[in-house]
Amino acid sequence: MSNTLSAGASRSDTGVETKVARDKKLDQWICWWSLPIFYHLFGFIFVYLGRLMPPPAPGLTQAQIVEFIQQNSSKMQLAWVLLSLSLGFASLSSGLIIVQMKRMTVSPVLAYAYMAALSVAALPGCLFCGLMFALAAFRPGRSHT
Amino acid sequence: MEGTLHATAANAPRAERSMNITDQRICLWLVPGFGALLVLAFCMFPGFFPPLSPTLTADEVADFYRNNFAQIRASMLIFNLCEVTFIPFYMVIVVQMQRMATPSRAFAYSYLSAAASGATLFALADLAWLIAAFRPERDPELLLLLNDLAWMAFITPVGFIIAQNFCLALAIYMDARTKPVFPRWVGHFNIVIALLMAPGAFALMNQTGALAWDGFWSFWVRSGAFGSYIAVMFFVVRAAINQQDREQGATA
Repeated sequence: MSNTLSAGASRSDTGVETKVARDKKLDQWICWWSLPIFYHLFGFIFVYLGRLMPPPAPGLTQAQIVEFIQQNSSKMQLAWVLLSLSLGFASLSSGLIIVQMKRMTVSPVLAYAYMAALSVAALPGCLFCGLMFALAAFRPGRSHT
Repeated sequence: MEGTLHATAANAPRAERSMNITDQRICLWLVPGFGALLVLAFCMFPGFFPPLSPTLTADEVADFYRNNFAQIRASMLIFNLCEVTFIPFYMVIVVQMQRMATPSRAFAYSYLSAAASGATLFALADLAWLIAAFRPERDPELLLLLNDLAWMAFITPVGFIIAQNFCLALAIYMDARTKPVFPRWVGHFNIVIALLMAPGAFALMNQTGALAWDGFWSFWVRSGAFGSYIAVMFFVVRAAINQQDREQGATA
């Protein structure tokens, strides 16, 4: 597993020539910066634009839900456009966490489980929610009887 | 992934080394095979030439499903069976990214994660089209809803391919090998394709114009960019596997 850590250095053993190594952690720092940037954006999307935090009450009547969607439809649409464009960047933080988990003195099974769980969870846990609200906001005049 | 690691080491047994090349080639050649079936399914779907307009009324959408349900089912069945075969191809790219002299494998793992998430999305669109065509006699308002869901799930979630291409491009730029795994232009190419596909997300807020799901940017440019991406990357990845084969032969 140590080859994960110092990939550049270990490659020279296999006879592959490399140029002088630049910043040894640059890729991990890029992945790390995806966390504050994209989670701030997600907050902006869900709290300000999507109006889902705090969540609308589950006890709203049908007419109130229709009103909620119709009043917020343009902001909601912008919210889900931004989510569609940016959600993939959530993967960068899992890439970083896998690299760090593989440094640990445990079998990689937990790292792989983490990656699989996170890759799958992005869809029902985030994108599907956005897609459903986008569907509602796409035709605010849709028949609701 | 660990297998790749060990196999690239110079002391790996010869059989293990050639197996490592052979399995990548098998995954690579799934692309033209299943790609041809996907192109066939794309051409068979009656709603793509021209793409169904978002401005159709519920009754017009219902007529579309009622008149074409057999063709819709057949094309979506092929998509259903074949779409996931892009995953082995993406995983060859992950294996090649691990050969790069990048500081760590963070981008390779990020790419893997984004590819796994992204591949599921087409299945959602496919399912919605199949459900709509399953009972075309359903209430037209519900068919309209399923049709909207299918088109939105098909066109708009471009974020995963954008993240994939972004990770691959950065890894290519950081690859410190004197003979890089992928040439630098492949990095630029990945960024350009990501930018060309990005306007697809705006189909969520446009019912007419070039950004609507049947528009120039959201449909034609996006589909064309993805098709040419797979075609170009097929040859680029093939060259990278051949390079790996030569390098392993040289160190044997």
